[in-house]
Amino acid sequence: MFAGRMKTVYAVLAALLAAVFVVSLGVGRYAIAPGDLLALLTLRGAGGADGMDAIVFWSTRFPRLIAALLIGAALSVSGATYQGIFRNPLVSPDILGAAAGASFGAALSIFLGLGKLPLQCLAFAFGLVGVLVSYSIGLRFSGRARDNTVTLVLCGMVITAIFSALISGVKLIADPYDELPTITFWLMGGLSYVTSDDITLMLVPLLIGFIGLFLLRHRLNVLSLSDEEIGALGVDAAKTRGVVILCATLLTSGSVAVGGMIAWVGLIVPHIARLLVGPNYSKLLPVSLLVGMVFLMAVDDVCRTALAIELPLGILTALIGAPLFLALLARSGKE
Amino acid sequence: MGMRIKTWAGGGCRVLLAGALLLAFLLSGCGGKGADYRIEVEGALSEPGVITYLGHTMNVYKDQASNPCGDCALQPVSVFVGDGAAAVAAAIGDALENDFGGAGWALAAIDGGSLTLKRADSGGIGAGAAAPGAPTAPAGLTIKGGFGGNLKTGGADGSGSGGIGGTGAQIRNIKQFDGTLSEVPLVPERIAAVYGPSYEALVLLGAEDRIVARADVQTENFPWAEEVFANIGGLPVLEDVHAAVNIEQLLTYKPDLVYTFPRPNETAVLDKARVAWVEGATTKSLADVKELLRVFASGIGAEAQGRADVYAAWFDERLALVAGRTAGLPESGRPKVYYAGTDILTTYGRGSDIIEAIETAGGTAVSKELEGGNRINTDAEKLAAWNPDWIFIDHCGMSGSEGGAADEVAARAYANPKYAGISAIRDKQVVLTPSGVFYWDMGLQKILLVEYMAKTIHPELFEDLDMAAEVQDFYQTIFGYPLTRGQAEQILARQAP
Repeated sequence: MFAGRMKTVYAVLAALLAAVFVVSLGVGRYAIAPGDLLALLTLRGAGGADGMDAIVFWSTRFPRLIAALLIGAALSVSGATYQGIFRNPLVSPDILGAAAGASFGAALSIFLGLGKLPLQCLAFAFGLVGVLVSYSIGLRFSGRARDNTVTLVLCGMVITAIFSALISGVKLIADPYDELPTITFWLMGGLSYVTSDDITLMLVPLLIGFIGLFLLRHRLNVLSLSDEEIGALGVDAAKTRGVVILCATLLTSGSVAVGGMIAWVGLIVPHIARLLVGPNYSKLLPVSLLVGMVFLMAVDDVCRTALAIELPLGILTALIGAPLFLALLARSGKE
Repeated sequence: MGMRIKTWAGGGCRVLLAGALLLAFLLSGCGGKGADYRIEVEGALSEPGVITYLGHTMNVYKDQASNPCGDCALQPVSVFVGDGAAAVAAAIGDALENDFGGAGWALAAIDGGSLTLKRADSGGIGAGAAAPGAPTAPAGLTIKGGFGGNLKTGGADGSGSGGIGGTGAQIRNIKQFDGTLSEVPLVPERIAAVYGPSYEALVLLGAEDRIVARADVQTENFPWAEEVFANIGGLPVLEDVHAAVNIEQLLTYKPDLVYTFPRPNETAVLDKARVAWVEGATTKSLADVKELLRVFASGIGAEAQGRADVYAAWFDERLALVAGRTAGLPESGRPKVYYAGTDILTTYGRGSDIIEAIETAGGTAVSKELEGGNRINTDAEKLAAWNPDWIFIDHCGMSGSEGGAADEVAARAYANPKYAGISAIRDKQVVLTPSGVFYWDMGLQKILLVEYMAKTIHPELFEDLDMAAEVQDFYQTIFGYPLTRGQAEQILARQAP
């Protein structure tokens, strides 16, 4: 990949990100005139604009935008990472049970009528537990086999299936007037209830995940080789894979704990990024991050504004992501 | 290749270094949050107004008599004109000690007009997210606050961060149904009725003309709501509220009080937007129905409690009448009753007040062995084993109109060979619950449901109970709407107006 082309890709993505961000600041069901918006952005907290505008903007719209940026980036980066580790382009961030575990944690806490903070902590914790269990079972079962990725994927499927069954169990006994719709809506994913507190909460695991993966992004190239080849390069495959999985899981669980199940982002964005800059992780990760930000922010804009009802984000990402994926498949077939 | 491996090894070291730095950063962040917050009060209050501190609000009244909340006991801490610095500091300390809007802060020391506070929760990242704005107070009193020695005042212009409704708005503390305390405006002017049964409650409480937005579910199955409630047809509607509320859309109507679903993620956003809320709840006993209404009334103010009393009196009188006649029934004289919602295999567990409603009406609630609350799933075998004598079906819409949804539900139950052996089906004792302005299995009309079930399963005990007259009286007393006898009969027959 030529350095010139890389620069163009980064420049275009940065411009796109800025453009979508500016548009996102301006759109929403609550109308704020462009002039007032400018006043708001420059005079935060002062009485420069109508008090209600400021409150709506800073308490609702702005945190939601930031959440879309963070979650879009997190799901895309962890998706790209998992695809590399498992050497499989069909892998998405929920492969090891992080999303199913987190969803169960959330459903359980809605059922128990716990508050928002316990919900997110429980979701996050169960996400980690899900991956931890599939990873440790995977390691045990793969035993002396050199390559444990297939076993890992299978264990992930089993854990996901178990958590899905548990979610169904909770839904079965949840009160259909308030609890059940809340669980269902949560499972569909969405950022409608994001506040600045959620961002603070999410920032810690996300930062650890991002920093870890970016420092290890050169090793990710090696991890997509077979374990024998990795060993020949003097890298401890299992240990490196463990650290990388931990980082990717922090990203996934942190995102799901705040935004619920947002499908397809982690699958489709790495493909788009790979199309732009090729499979080298030192470029793929930053580009996935940028594309993920733009993608989720744009889709969430549609959720926020298209209808008077709140469209669940997960439905739209799937509706847009799935056909896009087909288009990418068709394209790569031709090449 | 050797070079590259070396780079990877270097990467490992950098991970450790970055991790250590991150940890140090996080720990230092915690340390910063642990700093003491100090409030210094000087002078004395010379006029009424509002004191704000730590994002919360305390009313300053002219004197005891002018407390606009009347004698309401839900205003536990307040101060008066003439109070000095020590009294104000003590009141703030009191409020924090009792957790009235002081969540996240604990009183460490108090000395005259000087308060020292500590973060109460170490794990509450959310609570520590925003630095509190500088405190403000009305004329005469100077109040400063800040971390360490860095004390600031927000000034009388109110640039400090106020509680609900922005700085300077007068507030009251109320107790939600689950016992937690919240702030609401002293006199709410713009109310959003998002929670399904909150609309009928607000009509009863005399606040319908203050509603600025309502939910789709309040008219979806209830043509009678548009007939009986004066304003409901003309109000903006929030769609799909059972799943989620579009918060920006809701804020477009600029509500100062929202009656909403018990969904913590939603109320958290409302808190951030400084909009007060009162949340609904699943009522677990018949007494809860009155209690939830009292909570709804506390959101409106003292005068609304009188309307809640009117409801409680009607409720208690009818409940006593029914219970008085069914109390002596022997076990054998209590038919087995099964209550279904929407689908015949959806029922109510022991966490629902429907169980108590059935037993008060003189029946045996077969589903009381089930865990869970409203509308939980059961199966055909269990239903067959219970073999109820009566089946009531709620949530099935209107008869005749809209394709006769309700009649179809009954017809399907009678036609299904699976249920053919059940007494209620064999004896044609499947009853469709009326609705009127809202569902009868939740909300205010639950007392009508108790009477209706009692009269249905024990006609011999309630020969003199005229359901149409009861419905007329209820709508007149509770909603102030004069139903004709014909209209009341239409409601009982689930016909649209």
